[in-house]
Amino acid sequence: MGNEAIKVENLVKFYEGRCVLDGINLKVPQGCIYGLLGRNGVGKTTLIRILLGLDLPTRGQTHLLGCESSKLSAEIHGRIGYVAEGHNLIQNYRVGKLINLCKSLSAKWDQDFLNHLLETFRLPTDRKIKQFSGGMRGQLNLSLAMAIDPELLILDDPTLGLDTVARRQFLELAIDLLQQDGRTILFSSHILSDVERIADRIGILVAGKLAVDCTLEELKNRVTKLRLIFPEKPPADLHLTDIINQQAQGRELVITVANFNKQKQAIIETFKPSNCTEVPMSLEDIFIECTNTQPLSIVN
Amino acid sequence: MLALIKREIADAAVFFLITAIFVLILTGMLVYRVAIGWGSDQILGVPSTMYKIFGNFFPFIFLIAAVLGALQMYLDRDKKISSYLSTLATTRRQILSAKIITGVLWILLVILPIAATDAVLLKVFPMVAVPDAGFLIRIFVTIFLCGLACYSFGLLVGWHSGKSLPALGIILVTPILVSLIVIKGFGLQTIIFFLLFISAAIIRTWQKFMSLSL
Repeated sequence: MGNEAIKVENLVKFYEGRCVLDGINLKVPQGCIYGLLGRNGVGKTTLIRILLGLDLPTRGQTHLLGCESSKLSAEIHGRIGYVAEGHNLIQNYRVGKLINLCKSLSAKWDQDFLNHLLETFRLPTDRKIKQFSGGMRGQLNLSLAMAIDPELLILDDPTLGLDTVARRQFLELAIDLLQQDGRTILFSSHILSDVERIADRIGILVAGKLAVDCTLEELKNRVTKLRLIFPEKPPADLHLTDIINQQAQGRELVITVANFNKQKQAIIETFKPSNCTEVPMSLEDIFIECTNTQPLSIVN
Repeated sequence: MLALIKREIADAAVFFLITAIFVLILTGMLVYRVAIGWGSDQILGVPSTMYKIFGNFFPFIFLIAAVLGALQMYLDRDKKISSYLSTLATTRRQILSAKIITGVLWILLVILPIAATDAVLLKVFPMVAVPDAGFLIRIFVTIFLCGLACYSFGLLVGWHSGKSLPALGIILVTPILVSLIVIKGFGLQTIIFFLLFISAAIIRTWQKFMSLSL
């Protein structure tokens, strides 16, 4: 089994006749903070729900902390903290009642830490959860997930629907909490800056496939954007593999290439461009390029 | 597990409270009627005094049992409660077991006080043709199983996205289950039928709950 906290093998999920996840393979080692990116509706939540055993896969297998997702025991569940998209919780409960329920269902519970978080977030314990805003529910959800001191923390788009202030507040505290030693975190989001601040490894889901799975550093190094200016009209085909995006205008050709190396550079030089410059790319630029096209493969 | 059962009972507190009051009133009525006299006539082998009170009271109880089961499942699905609970240190199996145990406890809350009162009354105010102890046990086992059958049916139809279909199912099936006692009496056949019905409903609910998306 190795030391993977999360393992996904050939995962396929059909939903209402549509293939949502198409042969996903993923390994997240223990202690890794993994940022799962993808546009809305691309299958991030479905993948997380299958991991947690809330949904069943059509094909393939998923494991959390060495146990198959559909057979997770109460003991394993007790080592996993989960902050769900939309933060459902139990809406008609008062905060205090929900805390008592979570406490009574937990093997490990740090009440002092929970109190500290509730105080930090200024969450009243006598109000019903349905009276809370989305941001407050998110903060409560994170607090409850952290109170069990989870070995594995799964955050499914936790900042979705939060305003800028609430999002910043949530993230600042989350980053502090997440950076503790040995904890594995799977963090899904469609907001790049959130993931960039937290993750040390990134996966990008595109059209049901895991198009990117590498470290943040590698991703930035391996995706290159070049601006080529030719003496005349640019060639229609550069005969390069792994072209993510290509746009021609007049004598100018802008290409985004994955796994750019000396061989590819040599191929470009055979077309004798009069100028070739590299365009710096942020993670957001890479994400947009990757998600706007057919799935490429930047998997390490 | 205990925490889950406590949660189910707390969430169904209104059911437990109303039922407790109802049972108290019924027990009072029974004591009052018997103090006047059992009467000599019997229906289905049961003293008519007892039968009339039970006949008026238990159909409602069976209906409430079905509603309790359906609401447990419907609200759970509608408010995604199991979806949240199953991410805590628990399993689907424990969540569903807690619901079923709560349902059984509720039915026992109804039946045990009445059964105990009847046993005491028959001892204190002996009637001409005293039903034997085995017969009394058979009566209450049948009533218990009928309640459990209605509750199980409620559980089965409750996990449905709409409200009207479960409601219609309960309205149609509960009277059929209750009428079985009237037709067949408190015999072994009735007990076997209820046992089979309960098994089928619980197994199907279990299968659905374990395999569906939460």
